[in-house]
Amino acid sequence: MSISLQHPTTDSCVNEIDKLISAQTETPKWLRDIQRDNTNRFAEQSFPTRKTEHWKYNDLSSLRTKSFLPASQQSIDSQDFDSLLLPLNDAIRCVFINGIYSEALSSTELSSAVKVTRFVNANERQADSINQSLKHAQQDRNLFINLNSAISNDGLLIEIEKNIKVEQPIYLVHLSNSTVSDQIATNQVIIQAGSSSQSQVIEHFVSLKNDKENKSFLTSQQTLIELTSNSHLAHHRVSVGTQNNQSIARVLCRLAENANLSSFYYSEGGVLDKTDIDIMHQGVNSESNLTGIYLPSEDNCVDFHTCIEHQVPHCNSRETFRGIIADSAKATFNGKIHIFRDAQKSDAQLNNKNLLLTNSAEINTKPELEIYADDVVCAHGATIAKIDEKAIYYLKTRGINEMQAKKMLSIGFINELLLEVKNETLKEFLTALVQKSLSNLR
Amino acid sequence: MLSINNLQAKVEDKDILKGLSLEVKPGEIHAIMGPNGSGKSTLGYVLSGREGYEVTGGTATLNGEEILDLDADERAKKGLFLAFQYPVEIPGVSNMEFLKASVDAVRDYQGKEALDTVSFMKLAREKCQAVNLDPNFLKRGVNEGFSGGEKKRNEIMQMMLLEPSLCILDETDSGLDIDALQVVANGVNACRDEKRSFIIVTHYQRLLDFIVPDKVHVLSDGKIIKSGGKELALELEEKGYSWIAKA
Repeated sequence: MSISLQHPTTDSCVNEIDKLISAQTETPKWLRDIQRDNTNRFAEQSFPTRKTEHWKYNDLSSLRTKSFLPASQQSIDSQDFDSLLLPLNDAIRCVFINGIYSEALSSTELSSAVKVTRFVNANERQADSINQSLKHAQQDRNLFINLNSAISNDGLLIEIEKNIKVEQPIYLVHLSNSTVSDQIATNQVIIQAGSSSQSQVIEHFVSLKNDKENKSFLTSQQTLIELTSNSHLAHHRVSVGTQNNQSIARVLCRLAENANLSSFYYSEGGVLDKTDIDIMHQGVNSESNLTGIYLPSEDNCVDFHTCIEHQVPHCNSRETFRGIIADSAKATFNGKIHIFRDAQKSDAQLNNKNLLLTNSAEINTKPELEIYADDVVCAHGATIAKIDEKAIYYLKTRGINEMQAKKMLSIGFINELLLEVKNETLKEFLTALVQKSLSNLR
Repeated sequence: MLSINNLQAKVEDKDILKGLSLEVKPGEIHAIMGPNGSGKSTLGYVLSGREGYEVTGGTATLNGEEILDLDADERAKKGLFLAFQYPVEIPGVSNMEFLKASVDAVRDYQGKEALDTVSFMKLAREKCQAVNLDPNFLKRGVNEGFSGGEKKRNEIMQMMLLEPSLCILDETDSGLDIDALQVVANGVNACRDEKRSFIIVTHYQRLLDFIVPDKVHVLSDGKIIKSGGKELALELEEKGYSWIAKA
């Protein structure tokens, strides 16, 4: 049973997925229904090409010629594993290897305020709630997300108790171990923050094998975040050392009234590294602050498609993405603000700045506004530049040589955004990482 | 100290300096005045090594060494300092980090050991106080959101930290109120000694009430057309520049 993406619409492809679902004998019925539903949605779509707006800057042709087997969980050496982790010793840790939850490597008992449940073990109430979340998420058509939910016969539900501040960060480790070619790893996580709760989530994408040849390992991941009224969540999503992966991911956040989301993204890119981020302000007076950094080099690609929806009045959103593109890397940023007709008094701002370090580096940036209300404050902007010659000259007149000046300016460009990282351990880790990756500038 | 001989330079195919000669001895303060567009700022840029300012003729030596072929950072290490008319804002790079990198680079060139962070902090705080700048400015981005006066005082502070042998002040007094002007002048006077020289580019005579120059030069159309003592500045203030150009 392997899934070919060449003709998603054909019966044979649907049959393959169907066979796969039937073979997953332990799946509860309600989850199987979701899988079948997504299989049908998957089958209704055609494979995106360069002419599909959403995929315009991604070359997916190599995926098209492949057939994929669902990835299996690999056993890994615990020393290798430990060296990849952030030093978050007191964290509530959930580990996925090739998308599959690893009970053995996870430790979830640290706080009674956070309940971690595998989809397959969900009780009736939880199953209902998962069902609703996934139904909501599958509404907009995305071939790969539908495929993800079609293949995945599990997932992780993380429930945060109401009226509590969770001191320990919730640490999700997404580890890929791509020793076998032509596999697809799928994963879905749902995070539900109880009303008036306060918590921190760190999603860490990391790769065990740096096997440059194996470029036909595809990961598909989605995280659904639901913030109920007055809840505060600091969400971080960091991919490091995943340069040889192809990853298609999606994050969807829904905010109820007075909820507050602070979200931070960091990526060094990969063979393909595409993340769609949807933030939906569904309750009045909710606030979101979205920050992103991308530093692709060599011939890596990174792609962020973001959409901030203001569905109701009196919401605030801030979005800042910055990238430094080196060598012949390619980055795409598409940021959309969508203000619904009734969403008066919305305040939305979006900004994207890029530094191109070489003539062969590529950036495609497109900020978009779609406004149907008339009493709103919205601003958007995008810039693409090289390092400011005047600033280099200024530093040089103070005895600092050109290389060091460029390095200082590049790090400075990114440093401002690192201040938005709410977790101190992660901030330190990323600050060092940025220093390191920008220190080989030419 | 500094010896400029028949210096010619152009920017984007436009000749700006057209044979400028100037001799500055150790410990001297020279004021350069002149109408807009006469090439005053260009002189600072050419001497400090800004890209795009092409030297087409002449020589300039600092302490006997030809400097026009050197990179800007090399010139700085050899003791040339330019206080900018419009200091650049660099968000994300803290003033402290910038100053430390700068002092480290210069000390390294001079074969001195790098200062440890604590000693450097102490030194930087001292210099801040000397120019009446709140030490909290050290934590902020370089010149980021500084007022005009704060930027100029930051320039003077850098000068005090780096202890250069030749300081060029490019209209450091422009836009300053009398109080800030005095702070800047005090900074310069504190750095004054028998070895260190200054070139002070200015529009206004009033700065020269606080920093008394040894010589005053009038720059016009890329050349020095008149030189004199400090009384020349007063005369210029009174009569403008046109009488010299006619004469």
